[in-house]
Amino acid sequence: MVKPNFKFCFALLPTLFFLGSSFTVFGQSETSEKKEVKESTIQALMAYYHQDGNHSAVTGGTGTEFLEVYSTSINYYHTVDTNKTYSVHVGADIISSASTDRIDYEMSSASREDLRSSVGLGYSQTLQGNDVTLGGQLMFSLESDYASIGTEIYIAKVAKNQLSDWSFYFSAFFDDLRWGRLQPPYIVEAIGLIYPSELRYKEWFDIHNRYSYNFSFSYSRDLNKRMNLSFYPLFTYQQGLLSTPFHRVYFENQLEAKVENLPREKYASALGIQWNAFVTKRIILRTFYQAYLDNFGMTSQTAKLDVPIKLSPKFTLMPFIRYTHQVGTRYFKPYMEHNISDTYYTSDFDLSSFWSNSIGITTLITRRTEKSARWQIQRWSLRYAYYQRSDGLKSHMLSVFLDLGKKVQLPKMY
Amino acid sequence: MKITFFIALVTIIFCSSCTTVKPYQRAYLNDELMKPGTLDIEGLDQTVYQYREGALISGDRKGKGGCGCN
Repeated sequence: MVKPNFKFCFALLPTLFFLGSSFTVFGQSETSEKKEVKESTIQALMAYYHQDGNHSAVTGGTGTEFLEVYSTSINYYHTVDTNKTYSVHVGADIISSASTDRIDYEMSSASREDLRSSVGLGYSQTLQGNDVTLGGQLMFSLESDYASIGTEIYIAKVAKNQLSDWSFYFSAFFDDLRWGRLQPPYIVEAIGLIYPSELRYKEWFDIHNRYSYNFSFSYSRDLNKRMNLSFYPLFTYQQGLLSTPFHRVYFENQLEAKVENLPREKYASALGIQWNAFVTKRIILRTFYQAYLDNFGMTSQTAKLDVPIKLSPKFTLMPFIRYTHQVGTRYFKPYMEHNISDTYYTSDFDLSSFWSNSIGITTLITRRTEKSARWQIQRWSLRYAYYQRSDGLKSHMLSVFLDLGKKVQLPKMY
Repeated sequence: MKITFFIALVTIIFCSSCTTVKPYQRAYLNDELMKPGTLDIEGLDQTVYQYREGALISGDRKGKGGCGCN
């Protein structure tokens, strides 16, 4: 075994230093041309959501599901030297919900309003000649009846021949379902789980946390000059309070309701496949299919088709259609159809059997020039989507997306 | 599900003999709309699908917590 010769290494240090400084002097004109590139991006998404239906889970699977959400989220990315990226996320949703107004059966003049806020901090670094990216993110979100801390780590790799890439993500969310953080006097400590007003005579659950662990993988491959194919397997494990404590369930031949109850563990898996193709010089097909199943007995299949049409190099029109068929959980029954002897029960129609479809259109405008030292709009999009479910739920979504960027090149100081 | 996994297996085998694309032939593949995954403007849509349907959505990571119980 060869022992490292430290004396020799120390002797070499001044020589290397001298050589390095010599190169700096002789190569001054070259090194001063080296640039430190700083690239910044702000992405803002503003959206409006309106929904109505007649199967609210708060009132046991019957009653209004009216809901309005004004949502804003902003992501800031700062990339230094093209391989280190810092990111900050802030978001806020203002929610007007008629159904959650029925928790107390004391109708306010306006529907109950809630605020959901979220923040996130992330960092990623590209290694090995830009082939491998490592990253992570910390997230926090807060509602009046919910607080969530999340973390995510990922690794992504691009093949040497650039034909394929894969990534692996692991994320964990630690949720607290207690209510009261956003209610006066705005104390940090939550008060407790909130039950429907007439069911507060006892504590229905002795836990208030929900833990979610997600493992997701993606593999993409270019099939030829115009097509690529991607696979997205996903596995999730959830543990804790998986039911919502202010959802009522009514039983046959019983007047009194109970609080929704679901098993304390859930395993779910999904496999998504995406095939994208430039079918003509101006038309792209983006197709997506997914199959899902979990241990609550729910299965679903989803198919989606986007057809971007490039009307000009800058302007794209993209109609889309999406269809889902869901087989509901074995624990679901509608209003007053559960048996009182059931162990687990829900009347939440989100977990029922149904088909749903969604149609809409997106316009995308893209700037075709390089980023400059000033903030400029790089892309903006406008999207409208209509969604309907076979149980009568209907919704409208309107979204606006803005992407601003700037790029600064500074001489590197040596 | 069996059909899905069969399709996936066949496609993986199919992909192993795909055409090589040279860097100068990537004009279509490098288009922003050819990138796999969801588009940035679909953020609210993905949230709504996750809340109004019981299934999780693969290829779209949960970006923030929230019960979706409204």
